[in-house]
Amino acid sequence: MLSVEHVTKKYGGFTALEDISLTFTPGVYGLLAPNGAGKTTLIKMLATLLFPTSGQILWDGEDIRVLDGEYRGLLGYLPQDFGYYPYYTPRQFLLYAAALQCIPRRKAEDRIEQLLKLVGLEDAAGRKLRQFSGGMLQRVGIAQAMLGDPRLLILDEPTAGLDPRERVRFRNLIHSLSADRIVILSTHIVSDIETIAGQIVMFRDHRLYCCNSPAAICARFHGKVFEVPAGTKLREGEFLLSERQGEQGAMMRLLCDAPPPGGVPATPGLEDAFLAIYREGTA
Amino acid sequence: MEHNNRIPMPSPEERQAAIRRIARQATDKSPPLWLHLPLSALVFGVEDCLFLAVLLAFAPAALAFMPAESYAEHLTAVLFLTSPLLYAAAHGLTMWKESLNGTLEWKRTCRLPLQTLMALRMLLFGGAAVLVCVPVNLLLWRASGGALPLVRVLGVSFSSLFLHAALSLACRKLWWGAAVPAAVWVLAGTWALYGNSRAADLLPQIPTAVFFLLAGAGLALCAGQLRTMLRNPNKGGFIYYAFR
Repeated sequence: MLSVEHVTKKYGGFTALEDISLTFTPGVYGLLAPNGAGKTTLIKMLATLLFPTSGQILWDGEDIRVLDGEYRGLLGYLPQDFGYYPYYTPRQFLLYAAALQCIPRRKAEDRIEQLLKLVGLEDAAGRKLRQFSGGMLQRVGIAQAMLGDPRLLILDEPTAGLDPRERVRFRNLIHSLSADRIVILSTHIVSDIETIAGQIVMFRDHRLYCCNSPAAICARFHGKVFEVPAGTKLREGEFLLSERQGEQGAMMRLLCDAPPPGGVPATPGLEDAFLAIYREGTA
Repeated sequence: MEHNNRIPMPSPEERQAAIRRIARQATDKSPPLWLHLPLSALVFGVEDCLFLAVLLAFAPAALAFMPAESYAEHLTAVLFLTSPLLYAAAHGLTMWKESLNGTLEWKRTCRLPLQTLMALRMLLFGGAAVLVCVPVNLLLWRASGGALPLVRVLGVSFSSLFLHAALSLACRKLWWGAAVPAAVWVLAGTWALYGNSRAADLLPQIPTAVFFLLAGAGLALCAGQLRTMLRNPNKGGFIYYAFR
């Protein structure tokens, strides 16, 4: 179990995160917040790349700073910009990463074969990484993070720059990896985590806003989301969430306490909740 | 009482886990992790940097094809300036390449501390520098017609190499930036080569034993610092800054 206890991170006079307390048990957690909200700061603290200004992060009750290498041994991390060596094949690259993870060579070779199959790169295992697409590189990154069969898998914006097909593939992959381990996934793309995250962690004003299931977060806005035809003039207290193409043409989704004239109640999704929570002036 | 309630106390399970961990650490006799690291892992992805550094380190050998009179007078200064070339170039180029290609971030989260990998690389680069320095020094000594005694040539070369390595490690510990040692060496070497006659007069007057003493001191400082980095990677360097 991973616990974040009253963690604050300051960069000089700027407070990136303030008094964050969270508990992670096996399952998929989505860190969902706009850019600059502190997601990457928390991810980096969990990955031991940064340490809190105050508070502590505990793994099974022990400070991760004290656990040091032991903690890193059970951690798999995929950074936002995954660095690789372009003139090597994924197999060579993963063998190198396994050496740095102190995995014996024979064990590493078997594990790499399994992982290349898992991430769908067994046919490309002999090609150099410079020939890989962004999605393929991310899959190499996932394989790198999974080398030590980690109990804690941290992925920082793993779908940034991927095309929709690769994103779907990536989501499925994460879902298949999430059994019996903690997966923490940071993103600002709602659809990345809507279906796979059991819990969504949101920050607002550099503080923890909520840690809840997607259904519970959406339920807060039940009866407050409506659809009206595009072009309808917004009244006081109505907030435009998004626009979409419906059967009757373009529709606007609105957030308001009372139904607007001609408004059709809509089931709030996580994207509606995200836009409502981070609407202008409140983020 | 109210104040005490705010102190988070460990649960009995947490306390037992901590005791088990301390006991395990105290009785752990397994060899350090880095002993199992293959040599190839030290230069993985940075072979080009090492190749360039070796090429650079052999560059002073080109002097051997020039008339001895053109450099014999400044041989001490040339040796001082060029001896750390391999070490400095290999260290600087690998750091530069890895910071550009973004591999440092995930490496810092690996079980083997990045600090340990860096320390092992420095040992490798230092050893390679000694192996390259000796033949280059011998070549220059022969080509210069023995302008300086061979012992002195080696003394100047090794003192420069080990002092540079010690300064690099000190700068790393103090977060002064990797360019500082190189800048110091270039300035000092340039002053000795092109400065006023005082520098040129001063170097030949320094007894050979002093150079060997400096080399020994530099080597001892390097060994001490590298030992600290290998035995306790949380002190000094990349990880330590995070604790401040």
